[in-house]
Amino acid sequence: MSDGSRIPESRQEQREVLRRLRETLRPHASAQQVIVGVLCFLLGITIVVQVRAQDEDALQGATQEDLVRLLDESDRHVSDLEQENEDLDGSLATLQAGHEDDVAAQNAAQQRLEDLEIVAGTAPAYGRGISARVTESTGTVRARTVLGVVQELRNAGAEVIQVGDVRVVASTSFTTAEDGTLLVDGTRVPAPFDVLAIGDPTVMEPALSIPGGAVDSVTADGGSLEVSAEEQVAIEALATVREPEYSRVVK
Amino acid sequence: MIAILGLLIGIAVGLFLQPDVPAVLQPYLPIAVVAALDTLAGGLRAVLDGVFNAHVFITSFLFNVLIAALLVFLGDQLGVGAQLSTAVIVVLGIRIFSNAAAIRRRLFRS
Repeated sequence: MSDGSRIPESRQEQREVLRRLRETLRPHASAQQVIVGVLCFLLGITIVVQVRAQDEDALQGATQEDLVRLLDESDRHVSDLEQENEDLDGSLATLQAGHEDDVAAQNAAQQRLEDLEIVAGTAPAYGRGISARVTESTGTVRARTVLGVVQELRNAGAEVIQVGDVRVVASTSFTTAEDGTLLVDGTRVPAPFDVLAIGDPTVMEPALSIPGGAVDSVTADGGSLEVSAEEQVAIEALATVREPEYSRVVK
Repeated sequence: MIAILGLLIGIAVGLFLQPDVPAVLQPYLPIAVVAALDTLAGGLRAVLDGVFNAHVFITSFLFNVLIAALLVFLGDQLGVGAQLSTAVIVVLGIRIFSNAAAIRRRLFRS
């Protein structure tokens, strides 16, 4: 192809080449020159048109084959994306379900914690219940009598009980001090004192008052028990939970 | 001179009028442009060699463009349009480069 890679040998020959270039650049009004000009004019238009078409829309100049290939590619891309979308939707649903489970479990655990705190006596509690005042007039109310009162209340469905300033829980003891004062869990509770219980007052109040029941036994000890139903009983005494020393959970 | 003027005017007109190319001709346009550029380079080289002939230039211009377009058309019909277009572009590119190299040697002696 490069048959004429002829390099000008001398300075003179170089000048000759440049002269020819100048000669050509000078306008000649010959028909041939005009035709060449017209061809170049057409070439100019074509270049511009092509560049513009390329700018506007690369697909316009594409062959059918290219278009089919592009279409295939975009179809494949779309199906890939749809697949990915489905996967992500699945993950989202899974995570949401897991989250709901977690929330439910947490709520259940919280509820259980509150229940256990009330049972163990480590949280204050309030609600409907009764208030019973124990006073001594002629004798001393014995510890077992107070225990009987507590048992009656438990039978009647009391959920939280407080004697004097002591919260009554499963391990609470009722004993008598040397001078005859009532000891609840080792704390002196001199008469008169209040017994507070949260539960159904319509059940607990009659339960204490039945003949031969709590009221009668307190009276027999030489004291008196005045029971009144309350819409709002607040029990704020707390029991301390001891670390079990001998017991272990069976697994 | 008239040729350069024609080229510039063509570009200006193209920018100004923004003519639409019929869709049938669309695929052949780029190849035709490259073929025309090749002819242009060949013509310039002939000028510097002192063997420029307007007749030869005009016919080779038209023929190059036509053959290039025809090859692309044929390739499209045979189902190898993309490959044949590439082949034509490669060949024309090589020719443009060799013509440009010849022109450079004539002008700068190096």
